Amino acid sequence: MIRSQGQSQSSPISEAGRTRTILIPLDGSLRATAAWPVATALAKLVEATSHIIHVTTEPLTPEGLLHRIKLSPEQISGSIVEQLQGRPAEVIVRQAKDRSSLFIVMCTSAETEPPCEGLGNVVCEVLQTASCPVVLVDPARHRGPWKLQRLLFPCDGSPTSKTAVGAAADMAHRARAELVVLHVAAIQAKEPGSLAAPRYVDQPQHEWPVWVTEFLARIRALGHPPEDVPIRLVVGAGDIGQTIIETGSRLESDLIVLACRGLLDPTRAEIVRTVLSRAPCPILISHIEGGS
Amino acid sequence: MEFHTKTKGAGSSSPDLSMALLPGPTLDPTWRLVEEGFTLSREHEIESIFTVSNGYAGVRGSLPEGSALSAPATFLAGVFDANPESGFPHELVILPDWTMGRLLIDSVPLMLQEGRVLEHRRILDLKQGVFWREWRHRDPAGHTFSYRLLRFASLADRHLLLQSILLTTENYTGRVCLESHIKAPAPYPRDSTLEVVAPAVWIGPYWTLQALPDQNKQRLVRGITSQGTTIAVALAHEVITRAGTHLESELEPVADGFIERWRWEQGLGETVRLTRVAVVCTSREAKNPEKAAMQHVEHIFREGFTRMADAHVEAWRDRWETADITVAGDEQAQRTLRFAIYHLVGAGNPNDERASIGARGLTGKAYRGHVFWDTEIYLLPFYAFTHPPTARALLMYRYHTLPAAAKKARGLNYDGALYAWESTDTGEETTPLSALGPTGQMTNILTGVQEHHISADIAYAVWQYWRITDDDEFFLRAGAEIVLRTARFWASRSKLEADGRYHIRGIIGPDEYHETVDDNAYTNVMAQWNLQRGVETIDLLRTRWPEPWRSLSERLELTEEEPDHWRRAAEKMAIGFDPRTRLFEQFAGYFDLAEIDLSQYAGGTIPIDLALGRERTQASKVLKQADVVAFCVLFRDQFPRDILEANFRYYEPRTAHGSSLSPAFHALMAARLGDLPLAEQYFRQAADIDLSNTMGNAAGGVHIAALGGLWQAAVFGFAGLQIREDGLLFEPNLPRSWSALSFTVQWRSRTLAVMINRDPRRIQLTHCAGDRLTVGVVNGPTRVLQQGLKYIAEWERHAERWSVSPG
Repeated sequence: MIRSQGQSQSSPISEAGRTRTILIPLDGSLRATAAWPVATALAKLVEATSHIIHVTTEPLTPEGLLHRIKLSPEQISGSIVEQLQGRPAEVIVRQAKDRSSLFIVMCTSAETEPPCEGLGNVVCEVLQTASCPVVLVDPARHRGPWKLQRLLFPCDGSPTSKTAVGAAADMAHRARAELVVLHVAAIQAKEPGSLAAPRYVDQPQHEWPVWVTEFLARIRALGHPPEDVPIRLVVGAGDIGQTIIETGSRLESDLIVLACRGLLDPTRAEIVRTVLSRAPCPILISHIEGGS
Repeated sequence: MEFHTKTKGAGSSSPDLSMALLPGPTLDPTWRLVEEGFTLSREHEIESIFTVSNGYAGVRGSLPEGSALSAPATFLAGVFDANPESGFPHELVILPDWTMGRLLIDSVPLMLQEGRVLEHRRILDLKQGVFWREWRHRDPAGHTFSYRLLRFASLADRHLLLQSILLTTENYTGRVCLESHIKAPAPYPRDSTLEVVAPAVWIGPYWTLQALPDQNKQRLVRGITSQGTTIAVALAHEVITRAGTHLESELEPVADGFIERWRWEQGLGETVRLTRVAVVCTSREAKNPEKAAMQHVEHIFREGFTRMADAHVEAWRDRWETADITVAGDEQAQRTLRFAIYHLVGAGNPNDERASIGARGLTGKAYRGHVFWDTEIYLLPFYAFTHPPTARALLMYRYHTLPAAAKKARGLNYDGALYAWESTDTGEETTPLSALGPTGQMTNILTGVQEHHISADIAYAVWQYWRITDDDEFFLRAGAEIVLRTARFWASRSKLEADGRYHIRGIIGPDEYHETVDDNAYTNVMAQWNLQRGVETIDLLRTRWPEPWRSLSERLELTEEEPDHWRRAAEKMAIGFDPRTRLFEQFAGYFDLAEIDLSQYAGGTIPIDLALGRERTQASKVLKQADVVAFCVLFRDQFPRDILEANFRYYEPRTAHGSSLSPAFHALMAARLGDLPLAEQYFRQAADIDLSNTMGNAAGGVHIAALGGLWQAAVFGFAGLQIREDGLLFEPNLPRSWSALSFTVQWRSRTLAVMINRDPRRIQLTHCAGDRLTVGVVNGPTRVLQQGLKYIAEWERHAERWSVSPG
């Protein structure tokens, strides 16, 4: 259903009881449509309705809106499409909040805006202010179908980051996908209860299996992933962002889930930006609270 | 035994302590570790750290009602079983969880994470050897209760494990139920997998979990290991309520064991005491362990729990009298040392010659109870100087496992005795040949085949024990044979080559980053020493004990040529020492390896071999632990100071401390060299191995060898204790934050109390018991002390010498 601004708000899709939506901002560029296959697959996975918004100052007819967002009626069948006015980032974030969107799915940058270290300004603002997770898709991605078979979840070993595994595991559960937890042995988290790569490996034949078991036990206890989700732990070393990218490529991951505290703050910004700029697959970024 | 119940008024905030078996936790903060609140992710660490153990059994500090991360376990020392599911052939036996007890108030289970925690703390009472838990809680329905638990593994009666709870219902009167589910213990984690497999119900291959009803309300759980050891656990419960003391329980057999329930009516503000005892006996010490365990329970009930608790506390008091170290001026260091000593005491059992101490003591599943060289090099000095019978028992374990050591040597085409790198009850090698590494690659594990220094380490420990205790009976019965058979091994392991030197090739030293090296300095120096002691042993036996010598030499079929061969091999052993630089080369070719600037990794907490990769690590000078520093520590009193200094300064910056054994020995050596800031830094690093709350190191159990290393750092490092043939010398160097250090040591049936002050630098030695002995300070005056006399030496700052006070 296509709804232009000012039209009735009585769409059955938006009524109470249909709160699971995924928000897909499309700026009218061809680049932006790269997010569409990912968004529709995610919507199907989480049983949500795709909700496309286009922010513009120019009133468009339904046909004009379709033409602008460069998607065919067949492609958007079953989706909500709206045009809205205002500052794009503000509108996107507000809409996601008002509609309790599960995710915002969008491209990392639009054609029309200057890049901000690989990210568009709108994306940067959305990342910093959105109350729901944001899935970012490289505009260069092919427009073919996207299927979630393997999620990569980088985890620094802190309780907070382990708690965040739940959402990723839930997606893995729905998709019957494999969840790969990546621990990059680099920085010691300062949060009490953190479990970093073992500082002392007296006998590797004992230490590593014990450590892996402990790491996964904490993930299961804190993140409550569904029991049937297979979780594999991969340990890497070196530059964190680079290791995430390399592991994502090596394992042919379909989605990297970054749970970030203080998103884009100076300490975490480098890692996130590195991953965002060169990730081999879409990235889901969620805010987590607490910890260090 | 007195049974009594008291009723308190509504709104009481604590249990009626008059019903408690013990008055309460020790209040002095230097005698206790406290975990306030509850951090779920730390649960495995806390359970390890708060373990109560007595050398026979160890009980992790788990919550009786469990949590999402509870891993309760009671380990039984020296009893191993085969687990075909595991990559390791033998694992230390874990008993069914006797501590489990779920309380239901008005049918609602009391859980820490449900409702509101008003107060929760766990206290490890180091002084009394008791795990305490104080908890006040309001459940979701509003029931408010207070709860105090104590748990101990009796040091007075090592078969007895006891847990007692005082439960007060503050605002509720009605039904209360205690539910205990006895089932097979949780298995050891599957080895060598980085994947989580679907959790399978593990059916213990050996536990018989029927509860056998008994007229005295006992339940018996029986297990038989694959090697035929019978384990009996007799369980008995006592619920003291206002209505009576002998509540009938209901027994419900379930698929994985049985559930036992006690139900009672509890009045408003009433306190009820719930006590469970578990008595463990095995066929190793009793012909009929079931009967022995049940009779033992009856004895305990006759004597009364209070008397049992008092005896336990008394045993700890006695043990602390000879083991305690007091530090003035640094509360954290004080607590660290007491924590170390607490676990060391709890790990050893003087009554069991068939058990040794695994890498995690009796505190965790990691290492599966396997015994390494750590026991002899890092732990034994503590026992030898504070409780010689325990040290002797540990060495007797090695004596009893000599046949397996001989078998291993034969299997590798050597003579003599080569001890297993990983040893269990039989002494046979249990090191796996490969394991999955952290990045998922299969890695060959060569330590079981190539790490041989353990044989010399055990001989070293035998000799040290004998020197410290003068226990000739042990030496003649067991020690001499260990020294001779290990010396014989080294004579066959080292080969005379064209350069006229004996070489040991294809070896791994304690620095396991470098495998299959030639002439590892630690190995060769220890082998040289072992060969020399072999020759000395033969000379001694011949002259002092001709009869035992005749018998032993015949049994070992020692030839006339062997001592000469050993002497030659020792004299010509390639030990890599350069008299010009005063440096030992860690192994042949080490000095040619690439330098890595470890300062680039300073502050990092990851193992350096993971950061650099295995190949790059092997091609570099980066060390897991400095082998040269390690033998400098062992022979600190023999090497001139300039050699100690040169080697420490060379190797210390190149050591990544990827081994938990490393920091404490570096603290010791830095202290001996007078580098006190560095010594303090390493002491703290060693303390943090288990006690840091952000590393998770202790989840699989405490690092018992690191704790032994802390004791050595304090006594051999900061106090500078040195063994002489006729007594003990000291070279004190206290850290800036320590104003005083005092402790007691046993030496050849004598007791010497040591008190050291930092400023003014002063040492007081009091001969408390036994024959006279020589004491003094290094490079200072010595005196022969009679019992009851003191030696007091003060440092004259301007003259830079020690002077002895009159008297």
